[in-house]
Order: sequence, then structure tokens, then C-alpha cells
Amino acid sequence: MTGQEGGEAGDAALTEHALPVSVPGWIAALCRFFAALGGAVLLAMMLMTVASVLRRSFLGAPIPGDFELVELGSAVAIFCFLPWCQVTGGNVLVDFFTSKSTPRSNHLLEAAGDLLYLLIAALLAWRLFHGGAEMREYGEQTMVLRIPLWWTFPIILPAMLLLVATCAATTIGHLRKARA
Amino acid sequence: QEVTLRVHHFLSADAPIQKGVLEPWDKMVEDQSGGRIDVQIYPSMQLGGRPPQLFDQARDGVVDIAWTLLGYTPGRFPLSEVFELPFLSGSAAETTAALQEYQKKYMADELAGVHPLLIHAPAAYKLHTKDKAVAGVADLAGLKVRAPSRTMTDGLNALGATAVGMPVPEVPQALTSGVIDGAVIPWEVFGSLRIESVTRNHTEFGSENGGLSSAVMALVMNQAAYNALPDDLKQVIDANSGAALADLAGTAFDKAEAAERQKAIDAGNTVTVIPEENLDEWRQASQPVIDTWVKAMTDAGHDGQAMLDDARAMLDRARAE
Amino acid sequence: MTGIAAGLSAFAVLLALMAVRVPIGVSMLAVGLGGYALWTGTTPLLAFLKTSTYYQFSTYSLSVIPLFVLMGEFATKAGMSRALYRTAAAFLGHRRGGLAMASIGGCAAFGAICGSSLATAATMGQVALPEMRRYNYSGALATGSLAAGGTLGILIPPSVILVLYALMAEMSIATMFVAAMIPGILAALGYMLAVAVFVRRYPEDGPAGPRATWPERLAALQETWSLILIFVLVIVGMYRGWFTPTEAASVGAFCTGLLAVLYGGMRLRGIADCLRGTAVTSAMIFLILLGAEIFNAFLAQTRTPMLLAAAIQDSGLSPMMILLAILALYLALGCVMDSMSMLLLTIPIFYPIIAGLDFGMSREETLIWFGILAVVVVEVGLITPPVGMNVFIINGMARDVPMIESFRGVLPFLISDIIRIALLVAFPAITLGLVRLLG
Ligand code: NA
Ligand code: NA
Repeated sequence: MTGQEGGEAGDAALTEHALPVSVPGWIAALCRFFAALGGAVLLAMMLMTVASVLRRSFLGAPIPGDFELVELGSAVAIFCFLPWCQVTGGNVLVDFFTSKSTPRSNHLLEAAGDLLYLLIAALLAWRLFHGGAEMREYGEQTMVLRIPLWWTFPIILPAMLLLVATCAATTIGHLRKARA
Repeated sequence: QEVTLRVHHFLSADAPIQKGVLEPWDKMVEDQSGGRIDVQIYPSMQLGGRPPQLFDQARDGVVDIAWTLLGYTPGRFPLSEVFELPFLSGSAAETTAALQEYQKKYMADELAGVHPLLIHAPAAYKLHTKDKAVAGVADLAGLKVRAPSRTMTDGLNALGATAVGMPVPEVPQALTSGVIDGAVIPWEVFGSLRIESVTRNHTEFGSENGGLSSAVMALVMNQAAYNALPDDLKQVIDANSGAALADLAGTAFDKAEAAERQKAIDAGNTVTVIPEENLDEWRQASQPVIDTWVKAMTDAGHDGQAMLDDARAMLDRARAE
Repeated sequence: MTGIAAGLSAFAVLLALMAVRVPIGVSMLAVGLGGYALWTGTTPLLAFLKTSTYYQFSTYSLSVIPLFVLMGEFATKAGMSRALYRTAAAFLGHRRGGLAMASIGGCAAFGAICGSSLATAATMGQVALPEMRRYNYSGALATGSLAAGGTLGILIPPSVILVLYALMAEMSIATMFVAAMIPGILAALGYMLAVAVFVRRYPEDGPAGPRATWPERLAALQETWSLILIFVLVIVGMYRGWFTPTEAASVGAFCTGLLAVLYGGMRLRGIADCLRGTAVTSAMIFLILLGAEIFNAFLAQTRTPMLLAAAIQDSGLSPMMILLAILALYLALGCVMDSMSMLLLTIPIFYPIIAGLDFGMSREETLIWFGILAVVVVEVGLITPPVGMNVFIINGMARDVPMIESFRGVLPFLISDIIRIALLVAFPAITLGLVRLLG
């Protein structure tokens, strides 16, 4: 399912994805790093939940705050996954109406789509910055463990900025392919 | 009509807040404005977002009016948490009446940025358990209980239970599956959670319908939307907010409370009322929670003890009426 | 512009954007944001966006999705597909068309661990396709049975789409999973029957394979018990016993991961592969979820869902007519659109309509029944021309089979699907029986 990574037959695009384009190495490496970070958080979240279930079953008490840890972890993981999904062309699209068009025009269309995503990602990142700042200002925290909500933002915001950069890179990649 | 007011909340359209408060309010405001105000109620977060965002949605003008629980953003409204402390609050009418006074005296800063229409409370929260009837503090030992607020998280832990923090929609499933053994909630919520066949034991404190804790609910309006109203329409809103609305809300919530309580009794469930004279062990066990709150307030530069005493006096006055 | 006109034009723009290769999630976001800004205003929109993205991703009930996806990834790495197929082939292989039936059985069993149809089709395809070709199965039957079998992935729980439906319609995830059990088994049996009918007509398409001995069968069964255990733990545990959906998915992913390490030879590298795969699928789903959230928030401002529901209720059409019209629309949309985004876009509009109709059942039962029907119909879209994603995937693996052959091979299964849909519509008890029984 890793798009252009595709080693095995089953890893070929499992659904209609963007056409592959190449991006600068440092973007790909950063995307990979954030995906690994998110993956580690997801794995930790899974292990924590299993431990909490075991603790509840055998000791009669779950890990305190297990639910809110899942909520925090889920947010971090998903934000970290977004750039990786974009760089591997993993966002699903409908290719029925353009399947007969030339690669050139399809690359142009996808360049436009990625530019749109870039603008939206930049808008969301800008707003999230303010959202995080307010959470910090108002001292919002989780209920049981009282973890300040803004603590996840030093990971979330860079992930969003990386998403913006990735969209820029894939837009340029599609334009290059359209010209070639 | 010349003004449309969009009201947003997270409960379903048949919850007591909508049927008993928002819809009558809608009608009063529309009638008294001669149809110049059009109120549109959006239940179930239809306008987007999650419950913790509601207060800011009203403050920032995403919607015109929002109804929410101040406890949904833990840490943001510490002064209002006094009503979440154990064994303080009473019926919805009583706590709501006390809140009108408390709001005027203490909550202006926390509510800055919005135009509050109504600060109110449900009837005090009872303890509902699946299999084990709770008659004394000792019965709580080792029970996994869903806590409604960060104050009650500490409260339940102090009483020997294991507090579990989880979103309300998870509660029915968590109860059925044994993730939790009980929950601290008011009766009134039973209507939407449909858990009367799951929790068969109910514990009330001090007196019939007496409870453990409460929550502060807020119906707040965007300040700019209020300011933009012509004077005569402002008057319509003013005439239908604050104390004028408090009675309506208190009555509606107490009525829903009694109805759901009766349903559980009809279903053959056990209601245990812990008599006032047996409440000492509960009070003693949970005293550290009250101390913690007072200390936190004092550390933050408020007079915590005076606020607590004030809240108690306001509740006593409300009870006397 | 009236609200409903705004809402419907937004839908038109959305479909237009999707048609020109804009990713589905991005299309929904673009139209949702644009519509919101035009209809309600830029200031409220900017305020709305401050925390919306965060809370959309930080929702406990949605955290079940990446965990179920991870479980499916681990299941693939654990080599379970091979064991499952071998077991099914040991029992069915000696019949005419038996290996195709075994593919269906293997898909059904794999679907019991994996929440996605595409992944189920792809994974079973890797194992079963070479086997069937080795025994001279025709390209049509081999690819057709796998493409159809793959659709069992989202019907047999766990299923990501059922999770999304449950959350949107405010139903319990566990109840939806239980409701899908009988229709899922019925689908598998119906597909096997379709194979039997097909090979009776065209015997040379699916010759009989070797007959396995009983010791061989028992040995094959031994390989699959761990998987049955995980399925029971996850589904029964969620419904009866012991955990929330997120916990069930965590436990399931953990156990499946353990199997992959112990029997599938998965090491750090393999875990990293699974996590990267999970990252792509989860991010893709959550981008669509975010798009749907913002699009639906805009749509609610225009009151389109409420107005449409009222119009349909006043139309004088019978509830059954309305239901059939909705299902027909799903079938049509499914021919060209991705199933998940289709449901995310339409459920917020259709579920209040359905909930308000009287089918002689409680509101809750009506919504369970409708949810299963919607998922079944959407899943048919995965194997209908012109865009049948499952057919594309399996056909892509069998390079020598022309696409037209694969769609021909899918035909008997489509007929089986239509009959099953008719049965499910006519007899709601098929869907609700188990839910009522376990009540
Ligand atoms: Na499945
Ligand atoms: Na299709």
C-alpha cells in the first residue's frame, strides 16, 4: 500500500491514486521521518491500550487516562501521516473520466489538484497555529492526566508545514512531467 | 424576519435541553419579537466540530448561540468548578438559582468575550452501577466509574473507586462491556443514553434525589451578534435570559430528572438513598478534593475559601426558597 | 440563492472537481471551505478552522480506524492468506470449481481480520490466483471469484465502512458488526453457489483439483485456529465481553502483529512496512473524513439535508419506494465513485430521511437494516463496470487476462448480489435476527 514504494504485487496501488512524480530527496526523507514518528506513536497507542485492557482485566483498574492518551496519540499520528500519504500519491481520486486523456493533461490536472491541496493545507496550518496558541493561553488540558492540549502542537504544526512543502513539491513534480 | 440566530449544541433533538429549554425559548423570542427574530436550532453538532469547541464557536461567531458544558474544556473555567465539588449541589432549580448569583459575583472574567444568556445546572449527579449496589463508601472500592469532570475524577479516586475519563457517547457501550462498572451522571441523561437496562442500581446522597456532584452548563451568545441587535430586539433577548430563563431551565431539568428516575424504578431497578446522617464518611473521604480546589484557587490569586463558602450560602438560600 | 439551491450547486461543483482528478478529500475540503465562506462568511470560517482539524483527528471513536487498518496490514504480513486459502482448498478443492469456492472462503475468512475490500482482494489474489491458474482455471472465473470474494472484506466484520456508518448514524459499532454477520455469511454462500452454477454451465472453466486427505485437512485447520481465535476475541469481545471498539482493534492488531512476528517472519523492517502502509491508508481516510466534516458543516448551514428530508417525506412516496430509489442511486454512483467517500457524503443526508420513515420497525432497527443494505450495495459497486476497483486490482495481477474477461467472470457474482439485495430488502429479519437474538 506504499504507492511508489511498491515491492510486492499487492502493494501496487490498491485504489485510484495520483500518478507518481519525483520530489526532492530531503522532502521525501522528512515525510518518511514524520511517518515513522506517527507510526511509533500509533504503535505505542496500541501497546498502551492493550496494557490498559490487561491491567483492567487482572488488576481491576485501567491505566489512568488511557482514553485521553488515545485521543492525543491519534491526533499526533494522523497529522504525521498526512505528508507521507501525499508524497506517495496515496490520496484517492476518481480517474474514470480522465482515464482516456493523455498523461500530459492528467499531470496538469493533478498539478492543479495538488496546488489546491497546498492552499488548503496552508490555510489549515495557519488556523491551527492560532488554535494551539489559544489552547495554551486558556490552559486547556486533558481531564484525568491534565496534560496541556497544546503540547502536541510542536509536532502537529511542523507536520502541517511539511505537508505544505510536500504539496508544493508534488505540484512542481507534476508540472515537470507535463512538460516532459 | 430581520435577524437569524443559529443555536448549536451537541445533544440530540429530543434531549431535555432542546425540548424543555431551547424550543420554548425559541418560541418566546420569536413571538415577543413579532417574528423579527428567527431562531434556528441545530442539535447533534450539525454545524460541525466537537463539543469542546462549542464555547469558542459562540465567542468567535462561528454560530450565534451555543449551549455547552463548561467542564468540556478542563482547565479553562476553574472558578465554575466549585459546583462540581462533591456533595454541594442540589436540584436543578436550586443549583441554577445559586449559579445566577455566583455568575454575577465571580464568573464575569471567565465568560468575557461572550454574552451569557443562561448559566445553569442539571440536577445533582447520582451514582449508577451495573451489578453492585453501593450503600457505603466501602462498596466503591475497586469499582471502575466514569467521571464527568476533572474534579470528580479526583473525587471518585478519593472515595476508593477508579475514575475513568471517557467521552459520554462511549458510556453505554463501556457499561455493557464491563469497561466501566458505573457512571456518575444525572438521571436526565438516561433518556438519550438508554442505559436503564444496563445500570440496575442507583445511589442518591443525603436525601431522595440528592447527588454527588454537578456541572455548569452555559447558553452563550456571540457578543457582536448581540451588540448588532436593535435596542428593542436586545430587550427581547434580555427579557428571556438570565434569571428569567433560569426558572424555565431548572424546572425542565428537574422534570426530566423525575421522569427518568421513575422509568428506572418502573423497570425494577434499585434506588438506594444514603441518609443524611450516614453521609459523614463520604464527606470525610472526599474532603481532600475540596481542599485541593480551594488551594488551587488560592494559588491562582483568588480567595478560594470565600468562594466556596459563598457558593454554599447561595445554594442554602436557593434551597430555602 | 436559496439554501437548497446552494447545497445542490455545491454538490455539482464537488462532482466536477472529483471528475478532474482532484483527490476526493481535497475536493470536499475545497467545496466545503468555499461554500462555507460564501454562505456563512469568512470570519466564522476562519474561527471554525482554528481547532476543527485537531479535534477531527483527536476523536476517540475514530481512533479505531488506523488500528483496524494496522491489523489488516499485520494480517497480510503474517501470511494468513496462504493458510486460509490452503484450508479452504483442502475441503473444497476436489470439486468442480472448488478452488474458486476456496478463494471465496479464504476471502471471507480474511475479511474477518481485515477491514478493507481492496486489501482482501489483493492479499487473497496473491495466493489464490497462481493456484487457480496452475489448475487451468479460466481467467474469467479465477479473477471474477477473487474480485467478488474481496467485497466480503467490508461486509464481514471488522469493517472500516461499517465503523464510519455507525459513527455517522450514531449507532453502536458492535451492533453494526453483529448485524453484518448473517448477510456476510449469506454473501459467501451465495458466491459459492454462483461458482457452482457457473462451472455446471462451463465445466472447462473450473476443473476439479486434487482431493486432500483427512490428515491434510486437519493439518490445514491447525494453521488457521489462531486466526479464528483473534476474530472471536475481537468481535465477541467487543459485543459481549470486554472492550470498546478501539480496545478491540488494539488487541486485534497486537495479536495479529504477534502472529506475523512468530509465523510470518516479520521483523523490524516488516513492522515499518506495515506502519507505512497504515500511514497512507489512514491519512487518506482521515483527509476524506475532514473534507466530509467541513462539507457537511457547510451543507447544514444551507439546511439542504433538512429541507430534502422534509420534501421527500411530503412527497407521498411509500417508504419502500424511497428506500429503493436511494439504493438505486448508490448502485449508479458506485459504478464511478469510491465507496467510502460516497457513504460519507450521502449518509448525513439519507439517514435522517430513513430514520423518519416507517418500515414497521423501531428507528434503531431501521437504521441498522439500512446501514447494512447501504454497505452491501456500495460493495457491489466494487465489481461493477466501468469502475470496479476490485476487478482492476485482480486483473492487474493476472496480466494475461483481458479486462473484459474479468468483468465477464464477475457477472455470476453480480447476479448473486442482486438476489441477495432483494432478499435483504424483503426480509429485514435476515439482518436483524442476530441483533435481536443477542439483544
Ligand atoms: Na472485514
Ligand atoms: Na463500480
